[in-house]
Amino acid sequence: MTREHVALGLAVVTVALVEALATALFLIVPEKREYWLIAALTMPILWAGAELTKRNKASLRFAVSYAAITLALAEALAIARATGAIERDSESMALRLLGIGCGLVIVFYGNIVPKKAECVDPASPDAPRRQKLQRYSAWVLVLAGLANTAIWALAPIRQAALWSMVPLAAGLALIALRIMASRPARETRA
Amino acid sequence: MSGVFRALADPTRRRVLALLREKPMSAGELAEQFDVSKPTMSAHFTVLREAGLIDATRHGKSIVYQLKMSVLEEALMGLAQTVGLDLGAAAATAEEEPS
Repeated sequence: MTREHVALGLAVVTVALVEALATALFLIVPEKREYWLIAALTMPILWAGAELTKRNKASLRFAVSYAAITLALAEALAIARATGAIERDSESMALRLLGIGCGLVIVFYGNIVPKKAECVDPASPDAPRRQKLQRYSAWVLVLAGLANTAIWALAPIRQAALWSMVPLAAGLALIALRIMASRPARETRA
Repeated sequence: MSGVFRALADPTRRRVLALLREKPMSAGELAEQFDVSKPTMSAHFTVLREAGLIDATRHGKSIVYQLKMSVLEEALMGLAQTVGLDLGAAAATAEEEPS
């Protein structure tokens, strides 16, 4: 089974799951039907956009799948609360789980940044700088994602949303600073 | 994953990866750093490529290698070097068929 087949199958399954859960929520919680309608329409539109592009479709389909999984998790938690499977005041637990999930997504994508070797042309004289930047960014994203996940898992829920942004903002700032610091000095014209 | 363990188990291959961490290098430049024959170095490059740790690009007559390690793989290599983790045993365990 090729990577393209896996990507397509995963996209089909996850988007179908989102649609099924959105339909269920439409019936269970009709007073918020506009939210479930938006959820139901968002994933097919995203997927259609990915299919229409001429770029690497497999990568975009994987991205659509991850977005669909995140949305499906939110919908499943909403159904669980609406049906009483989990207590109504467990909104904090639902929020915490979503935060942890988002943090882990950042860790996952940060981890595979250096695998995208096609971003660096090895014959270019700039290749060493670009490669080091790529590795640095990957490590920063992974560490920031882990810190973000830990804060969502352990911090008081009222502060978790704000505090969890700190490592991410710090990470992005570090990457930006590193990019600026590593730029080759421009030759001055005579 | 067993391919990654196997690739990282050899000190020569770990040294190749450490050199490529600085910059992409051609096969010839890498071979000069080691006191082994070219066929042996080619075998090492093949193991690393098959493990997905390096990428090879042809430029004219030479092949240029560049690093393609994920953060997790790099951390594993660092751990192996620091703690002396036996990645060869880990590779053998990972390759065993489940009973």
